[in-house]
Amino acid sequence: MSESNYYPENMKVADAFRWTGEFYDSFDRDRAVELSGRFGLSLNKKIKSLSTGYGTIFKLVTALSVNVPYILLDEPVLGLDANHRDLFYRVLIETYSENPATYIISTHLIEEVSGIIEDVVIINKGRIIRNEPRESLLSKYYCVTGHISAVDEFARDKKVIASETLGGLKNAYIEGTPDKRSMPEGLSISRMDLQKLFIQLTGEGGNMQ
Amino acid sequence: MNIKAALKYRLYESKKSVIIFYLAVAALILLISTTIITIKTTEGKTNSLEIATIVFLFILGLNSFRETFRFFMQNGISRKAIISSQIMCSLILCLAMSLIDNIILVIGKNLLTFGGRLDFIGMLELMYGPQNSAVAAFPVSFLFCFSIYSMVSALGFLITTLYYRMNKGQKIAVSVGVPAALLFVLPAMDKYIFRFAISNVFAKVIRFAFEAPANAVVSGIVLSAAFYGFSWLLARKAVIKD
Repeated sequence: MSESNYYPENMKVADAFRWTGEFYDSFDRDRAVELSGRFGLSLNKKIKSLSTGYGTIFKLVTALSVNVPYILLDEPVLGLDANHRDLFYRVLIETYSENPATYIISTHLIEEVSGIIEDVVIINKGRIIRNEPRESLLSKYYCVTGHISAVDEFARDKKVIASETLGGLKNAYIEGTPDKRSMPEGLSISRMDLQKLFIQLTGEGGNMQ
Repeated sequence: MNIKAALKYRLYESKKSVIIFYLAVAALILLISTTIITIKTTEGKTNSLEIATIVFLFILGLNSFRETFRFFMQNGISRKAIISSQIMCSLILCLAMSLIDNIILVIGKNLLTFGGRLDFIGMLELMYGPQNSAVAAFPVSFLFCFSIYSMVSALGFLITTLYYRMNKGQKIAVSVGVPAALLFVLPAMDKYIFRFAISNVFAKVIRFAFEAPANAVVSGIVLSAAFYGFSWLLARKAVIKD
């Protein structure tokens, strides 16, 4: 599924499904029609007249109905409202459960997909800087929260990859595995989230390569 | 499998245009016939209905790349299948339209004469005069039309593929440069530098290529193959342009 739309000017959604069925033997047209109904996509509309969101929905429905071993989704939630994004993630899991395949999702909305992905590939300036299972990647970091002085004291001999301060509180993102038994009072440990890690790995001052 | 589906799509896309074209041809013939029947003193000639088909196929060829290429690429059709399906579609259309045009010609010559007041003249007859045998004329005219149709269709496809690959500057250079070279530079060089040697050679080549129907058939097929060959060279590394 490409981010761009290269369907002919006058082609309708129903015609596109028909031709996709010709190009892909495994395309499930009934499934495509059923998914269109769930997303509220009209089959009689011309593809070029669809809004950005419905254009994305059309391509998602097509991609989720082709039943091929590898499916590449490029910005799959572009222009989708919150309801449709939620529906898409549910349908993706549902489709994966019924017909397991490798889905490669390219997205900037990391937080949203972090719950459904198994492997993470992070690309920065055209270079792969991380390529490993999500669990393995996240287990290498943790977040410590507490009063500024307590966090600074705790993090003094540790590798801090980033920190943020809000009022008198501070979050420090630390590389390594936390030892919960030796945690000073007043500090709490939480799991690193993928988006935060991504920002630190790729953003300004992200020097963890 | 990809080629079969791509060919099916191309034929489906061309079907509507071909039907409209022949409806227009039928309407034109009906109009001429009605005029001849209504106005008793009128006489008419329909010269080379095939010229209209040539223009139609050239335009169809010109419109056969950009949109279809992008659509096929988005659906995982290989470039090889894109070109192969275009060649097959063109051959099928040229065969069918050559057959239809020649059937129209036979019907016109035999059934729509209105006592000799209407004369249907085909492209073959117009270029090479009446054929000796009426029986042989049909297959010769059919092959002749097919090869010319195929050539112009391939030329249209080559031009559109070439323009697709070029950037804006190249498009302007070719659009201005080629007509200028053909209309002014080449004739001037031919006249003042080469003393008409270029035009003599060109005339000899054209004469040889089209001096008899058989030559024209072979020339048409060879040129079609050459145009599609160049199109393949251009299309094999083409990328989707926004």
